[in-house]
Amino acid sequence: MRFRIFVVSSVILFISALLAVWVDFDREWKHYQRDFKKLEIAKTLSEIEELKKSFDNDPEYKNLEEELRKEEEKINSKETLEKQKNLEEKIKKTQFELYVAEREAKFTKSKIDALDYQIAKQTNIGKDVSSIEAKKLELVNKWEEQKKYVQEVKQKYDNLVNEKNNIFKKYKEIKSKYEDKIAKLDMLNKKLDSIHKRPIKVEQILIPQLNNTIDRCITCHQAINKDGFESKEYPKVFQTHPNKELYLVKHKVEEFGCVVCHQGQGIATKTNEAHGYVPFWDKPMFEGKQAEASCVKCHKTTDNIGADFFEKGRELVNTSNCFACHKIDGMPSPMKNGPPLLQASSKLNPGWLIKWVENPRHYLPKSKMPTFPLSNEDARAISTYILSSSDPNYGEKKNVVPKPELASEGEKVYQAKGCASCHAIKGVGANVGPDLGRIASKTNPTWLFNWIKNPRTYHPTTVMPNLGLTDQETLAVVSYLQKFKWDNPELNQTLNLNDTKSIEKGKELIKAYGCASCHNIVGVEGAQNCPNLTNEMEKDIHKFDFGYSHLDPERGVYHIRESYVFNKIKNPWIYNDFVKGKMPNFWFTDEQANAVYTYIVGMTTNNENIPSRYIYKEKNVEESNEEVRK
Amino acid sequence: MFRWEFFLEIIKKPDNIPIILLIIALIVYTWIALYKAFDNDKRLAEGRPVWEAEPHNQEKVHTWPHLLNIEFIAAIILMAGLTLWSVFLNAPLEEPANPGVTPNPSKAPWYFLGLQEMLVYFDPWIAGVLMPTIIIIGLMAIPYIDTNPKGNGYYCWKDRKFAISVFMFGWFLWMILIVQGTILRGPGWNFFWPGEYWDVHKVVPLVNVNLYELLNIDPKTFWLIREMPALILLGLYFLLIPYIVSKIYRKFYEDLGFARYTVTMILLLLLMSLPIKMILRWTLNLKYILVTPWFNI
Amino acid sequence: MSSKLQDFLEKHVYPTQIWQSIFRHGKPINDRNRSLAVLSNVFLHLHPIRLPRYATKYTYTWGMGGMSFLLFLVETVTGILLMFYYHPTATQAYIDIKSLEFDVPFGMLLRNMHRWGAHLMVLTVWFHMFRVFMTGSYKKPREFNWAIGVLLLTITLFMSFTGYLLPWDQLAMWAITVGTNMARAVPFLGHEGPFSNLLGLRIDNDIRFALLGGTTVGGPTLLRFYVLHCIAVPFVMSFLLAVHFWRIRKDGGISGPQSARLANLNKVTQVKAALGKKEESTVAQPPKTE
Repeated sequence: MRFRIFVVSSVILFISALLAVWVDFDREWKHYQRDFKKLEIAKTLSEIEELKKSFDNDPEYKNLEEELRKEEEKINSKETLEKQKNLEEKIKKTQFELYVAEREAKFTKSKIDALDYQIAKQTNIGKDVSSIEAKKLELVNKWEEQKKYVQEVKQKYDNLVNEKNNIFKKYKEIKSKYEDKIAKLDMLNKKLDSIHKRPIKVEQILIPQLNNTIDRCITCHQAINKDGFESKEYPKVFQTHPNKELYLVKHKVEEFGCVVCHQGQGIATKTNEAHGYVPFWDKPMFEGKQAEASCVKCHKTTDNIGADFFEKGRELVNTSNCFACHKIDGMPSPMKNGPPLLQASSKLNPGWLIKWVENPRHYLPKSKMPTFPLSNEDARAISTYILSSSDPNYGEKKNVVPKPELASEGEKVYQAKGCASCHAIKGVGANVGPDLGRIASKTNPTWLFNWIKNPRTYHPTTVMPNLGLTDQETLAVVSYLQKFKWDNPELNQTLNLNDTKSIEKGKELIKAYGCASCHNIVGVEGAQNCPNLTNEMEKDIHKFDFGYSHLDPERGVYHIRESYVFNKIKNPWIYNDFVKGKMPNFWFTDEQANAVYTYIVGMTTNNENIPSRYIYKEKNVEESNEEVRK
Repeated sequence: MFRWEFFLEIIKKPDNIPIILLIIALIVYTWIALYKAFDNDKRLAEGRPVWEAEPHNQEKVHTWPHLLNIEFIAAIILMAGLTLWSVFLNAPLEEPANPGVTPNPSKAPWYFLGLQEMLVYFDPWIAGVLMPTIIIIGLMAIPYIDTNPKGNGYYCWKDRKFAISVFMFGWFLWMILIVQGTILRGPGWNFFWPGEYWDVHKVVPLVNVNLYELLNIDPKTFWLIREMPALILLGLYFLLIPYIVSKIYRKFYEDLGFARYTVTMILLLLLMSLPIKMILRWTLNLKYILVTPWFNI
Repeated sequence: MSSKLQDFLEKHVYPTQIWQSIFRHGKPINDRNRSLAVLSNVFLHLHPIRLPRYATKYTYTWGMGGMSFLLFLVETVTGILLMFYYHPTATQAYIDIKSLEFDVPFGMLLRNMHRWGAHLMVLTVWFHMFRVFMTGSYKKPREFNWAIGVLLLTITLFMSFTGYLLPWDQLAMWAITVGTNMARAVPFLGHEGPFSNLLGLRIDNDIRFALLGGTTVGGPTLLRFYVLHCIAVPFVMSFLLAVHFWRIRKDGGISGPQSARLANLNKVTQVKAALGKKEESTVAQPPKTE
């Protein structure tokens, strides 16, 4: 029994030891390096193959090859070989002669030096040196002769060497021409050899001056800094960095590394530990264009540096008017970009307003106004407040009655005056102003008339121009627009504008949701009660309310700030497990959310740990501009 | 509302694996010990020798191979288990140390969670200093106060009922506190049921009162007078109980002698003070029994 | 083994001076040689040459003491190897641990074995104590060895506790912060403990300050815990282990009903009690206090 246990447990121990060795040996990055080696070898081989093919069709190459062959034959002829042999023997002999002559001369010189020392020494103690002087003179004469002889022998030697070289002169010329011709092939062969010899090892970029960066990304991304792997046909991991000239040459990769822009765990040598959301790693990797969030670490402005994605995010943040509610220190607060609601009751159909507040997208799929998380009851309360508090007497002309018979004329005016260049109808047309395809259910003809006559009297900062229509034309357009109705039974909802309870509730909701941040509303000031986003990316992770979204795989949220921010932008209500979020939904697409995320993350990351030598100086801009001018 | 994902979230943490091992080992080895103890009790009752004293088991065997081979097998199994555990489960490494950010909950290593749990019921100097010292000294004192000559070197229960029950009580109390501290204590050291979400925002009412508040005594009263009931209660606990016990179990007292009996009772009463304080907290929301200008109990 | 190899060994290996100088006994094919093998081996001679059969049964010993010692060795070996890759400084420690995972050969295995081994060792030591209590093995004459064992258990926990800080991550730092906060409250010696004002203790001169080398867990704490973990505590532990093992033998080997004979007790009643003579066991008297 014991023996059986012994055998079984020994086998298990043996296997587990082997397993441990294998797990340690078989590291992921080795596979990548081997795969890349194969890829690079295949690529180089095909290049070699191509080059060889091109030689086959090259007459110049053929000629050279032929000449070279002939010359080789010549120098290998018996005659030439004999001559060469004789010459070589002579050279050998002369070489020895030269050696002996030079040695003798050197010895004589040495003797002279020794006598010089004797002379100096004897003179110092006042002895007579004439005999030594005489001896020296004799030697000097001898040395002069010897030097002359050396020159003679040398000349003889040089002549012989020249003579020998002349035999090969032509051959060498042709050979060097031929070698020039095949230089590229040679280089490729050498490259192939070096690829074969390249060891499989962890490769890294160490930048002690930049927060002790240890970047091992290049261990797997072997082609990132190599030309020739730009094609999208190569696996993503083996592609050259897009726009390499800008990102890896201008920002020298040895000085910047990868993680300063891309973040992620640069020290890691495992895919899962380096990319994406890594548990306990504070800075998740920025994938692709997200890395533009890092530009602002060193560049004070992103003008003219090609951070297009970042700029797109800025654009979206501005059009969505994010800063109307959120603040980032140092960023100016934007204007109210929604229409004023001070006279809303002269304009809006109550049933429409309720539907709109509930979700603007029902009426206008491309609405700039985001969707707030409001129930029908909330929407009714808000509508009640807005309609009861605002001025119902807008406009000079009252009680406009549209005339159906003018509709066709109105259509002509509509086209002639270029309304369609800003407004679409049922999705057809430009998208500067709102789509008018359901306008008749939204506003009454009186308001519409007064608005078209002079929009600025209702909304002082509107982009809609005063088109200078006559009353007749205006009425025609109003009549034309009356046929665009929204067929929705819910529009029949009515409101009791004297219900004080509802009005009170509406006011509270308007304050709570910060409606006045974008709209002018009677009796409510714009309130910035949303989180200040300055240093959002440095905030303690426990201060983010994740709900339990990070435990619910279906929601795709990770317990990390970046994931929180991205998903909050994408769907602000994703964390509503405990506290109902007030932030409205902008219905961003993935691409848009990504751009906004890139911008927000870039703007709210604390970059104080970047050494000053990395900060981009304005001076350089001027210099480069000057270069351009020259 | 039990939810698996929340429960597994806590169980799955690599550092909590020893707790699972602990629970399994606790069940298995307690069962073995008690099984063997009851078996030996039966043997003694029938007048047979205990299992360890059976002639077959008393027979001398050679260390090589009889002991060495089982040691060798144990070593192999242990090493295989440890290697496999190490291959398949990585030791955790969280964010770099950051004095500015306090994780919630911040917990001591699992084997000290019993002490951390005591912090709920006692002041730090009792839970963190006095109790550990008493535990160590108390354990070391066991052979010197347990003079019962029976049950030396074999499993049994009937002959050592008192010693075993006291030890097991302390042992299981310690283990339960560890398991509770690991699995049931969440952010803010608040209590959470298994499978409940560890909500950082959870707020529990802070309604604990001191003994004098329970008795409606003015806190401004001079402390010695204010704390009279507490002092009397503590006096009764530490003096009267030992006295009464010594009268009731006269033989037990005489067997031990005065010195041993005193030490035994002090250790026993200190051990019991934890569950007593726990129960008082749960039922009466009692914070401190005794409040002095220097320390609280 | 083939007989040819056997012959070769018999002729050319076993009789050599080198072989004879290493192995002082013949092949362990008979009891005499096996006894000699145990006797003449410094590691094996921790064991007696012969022992009662019950002491070789797992259900009696549970093997927890031996496993604790084996784990102590595992911790020592993996610990020494880990020391090659570790700097106990606040700036470098965390990166070193990361490197263990990503580039050191067998780095992750070493760290895992060290950490899981440590956890396991706490468990085996606790269950060793449990077993010794349940068999009453702490009783005379083993009182002192039990006390040593309790000290060793405490030291095991302290070893694990000091090691917990070394990865220098949030888990480590805050576990140690929570753990060492108890030292604030030591009566007389901690600045928040009762009567601390008698000695004029502040946060920067109390016992916790001495333990941490600062008022909070920081670089000096890391160095202190490193030295404690790698040098100081292992030294004390080895010393106590030697005493513990030595005393097992000196106190009569493994505990058991028969070894009561060695205890200076009423021999007859003790042995008879153990051997199941019921009527006599009831009259067993404890020794009078000297």
